Amino acid sequence: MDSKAKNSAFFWLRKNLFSSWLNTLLTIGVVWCVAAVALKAIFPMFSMDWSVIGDNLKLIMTGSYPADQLWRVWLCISYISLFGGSSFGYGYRKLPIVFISILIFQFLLLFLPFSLLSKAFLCINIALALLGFYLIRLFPKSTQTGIIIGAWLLLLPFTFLVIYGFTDPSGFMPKITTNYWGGLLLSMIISLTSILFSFPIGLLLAIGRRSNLKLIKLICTAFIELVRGVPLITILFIGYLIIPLALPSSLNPSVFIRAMIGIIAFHSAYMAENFRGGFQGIPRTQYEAAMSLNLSKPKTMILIILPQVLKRMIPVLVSSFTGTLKDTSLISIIGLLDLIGISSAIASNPKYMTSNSQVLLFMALIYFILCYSISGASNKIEKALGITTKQAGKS
Amino acid sequence: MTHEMNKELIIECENVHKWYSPEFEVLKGVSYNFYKGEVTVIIGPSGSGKSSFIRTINGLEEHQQGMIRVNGIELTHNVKSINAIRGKCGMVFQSFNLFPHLNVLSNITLAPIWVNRLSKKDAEQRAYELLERVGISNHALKYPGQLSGGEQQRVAIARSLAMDPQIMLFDEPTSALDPEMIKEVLDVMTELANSHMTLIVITHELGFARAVADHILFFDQGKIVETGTPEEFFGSPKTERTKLFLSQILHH
Repeated sequence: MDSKAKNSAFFWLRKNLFSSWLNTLLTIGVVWCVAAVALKAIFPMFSMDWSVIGDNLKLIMTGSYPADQLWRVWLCISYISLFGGSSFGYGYRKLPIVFISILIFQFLLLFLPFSLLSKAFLCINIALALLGFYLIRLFPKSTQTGIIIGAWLLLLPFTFLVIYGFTDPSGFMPKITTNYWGGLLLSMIISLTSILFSFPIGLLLAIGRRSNLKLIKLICTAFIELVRGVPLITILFIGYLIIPLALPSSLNPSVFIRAMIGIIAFHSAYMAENFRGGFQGIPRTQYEAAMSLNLSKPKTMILIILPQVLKRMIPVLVSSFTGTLKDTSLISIIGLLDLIGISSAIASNPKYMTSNSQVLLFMALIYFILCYSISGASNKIEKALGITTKQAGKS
Repeated sequence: MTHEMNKELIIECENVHKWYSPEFEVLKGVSYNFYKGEVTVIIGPSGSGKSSFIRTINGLEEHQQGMIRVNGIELTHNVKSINAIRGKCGMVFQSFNLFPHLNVLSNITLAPIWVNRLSKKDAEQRAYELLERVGISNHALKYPGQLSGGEQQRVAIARSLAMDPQIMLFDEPTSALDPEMIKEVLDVMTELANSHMTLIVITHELGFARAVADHILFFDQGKIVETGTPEEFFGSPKTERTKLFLSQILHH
């Protein structure tokens, strides 16, 4: 039995890896490459000095946001925990593994040497997530949908209110201008804002491009083609240098606003093209059916066409959302200290000169986790809407 | 001619021309009067302009010359006149054109709620009555993709009826159906005809035409070649073109 198993393993190797001299050469080459990568890149990671991450964790997460106001950032995370928990509770009956692993991860973080405030908030967040998971079920199903959609739409206004603040310096939530925002906090705010704005603007541009009114069509087409013909870096520089010149000096917008305008303009144009593709997938007969029922054009768009377009476009939209998230890393070149900006700031500190690769690896890990969870969530939504399993009907 | 005097005129067409480009004229002067409560079947070879003709009546396509008047309202480019006419004409398409993202009930209630401003409750009650009438009330909550072609077409008929039209236009309603489903759709149409609704039907189902039609129009090359009652038309066709067409269809 044993010898037979060994034999079959030997034959498997022979058949699949060493069947010809070319295959043998390829096998050896690949093994050599893998070994080299493992020896030179992966194994050294374990022996690296990762203290740079711990020392600069606050900087990486929030940039130069005042340390005594960090509870405001934690408050936003608590909001996300509560409604993240609710969203899981909406979609699953039992606690799903992903959800449990997130909670366990947060629990393990408690054993790292964080400040008392952080530990307290970690505990609160775990509790809020569980609370949200079970609390949402007390509502009828239609109210649940409303609560979840409303909560995620309000996330950004809530974040802006809490992070920016609204009182004078002595007050309970003093204003903190965008110059102090940085790190993951800034990256997240910028990508969420640009996703939230470029979605409706892109939709309007796409509808405008299909319009029968020549002027509107011309303006929308010109905007889309101009923006799409220029790299994002150029648009960021234009925003950075030209917007202040174009506006009166009293209205001098911060670098944050200028970057936002550039990124939103850029992604709106791409979003518009995505939507255009979605619109082209709807057969003309759907418009005719709506026309014969006397539905006006706006009603046809909202009731008949858009629901079908949006449903078909979820995969494309998600991939452009991840694109938006990664593209925000470019804002570091106009002096904003987002994740990448912070990493180069840390690298320029003589104390951490040798730890550059650790910082970059950590950034890569953060981006990977974010993008991977977005695409995981989109797979779930696609399955729930039945996009992957069955087509939306014959007609 | 005298018997037509006491009938109520509902659609008048006078010298209707339609072209996509000067070389491609699909309607070359069509004149015909449709009367209330009558069933008119339009037959003709493909490309003869019969489909363009009834799409023009509904304002789905524009005519370039001539006059169409529905229920006394002239069809112009004016949105108001088009909307008023569409409110009178229901249309059923060859490929059903149901809204795939809505269930059967919502497909039917959508326009009554959003165009005629009916309350949801009234619209749904009416929808169930209509589904009963076309014989598929047990499928109200299914989606179009879950229904057979015949069932989808009957939903499409119910969807048009929900707008309380005076005229129903059928554009080859059974051409996309499997043979065993054709009858269920034709039965619904026969029932409509018996309830004295004005129907204009493009079809190749000559049995249906013979049994139900009051008048038959034969279209060829953008013109009405021959008109008559089913007996006249099938019994003693006048023109050579009609004879040829009928012999081709009947021997097929």
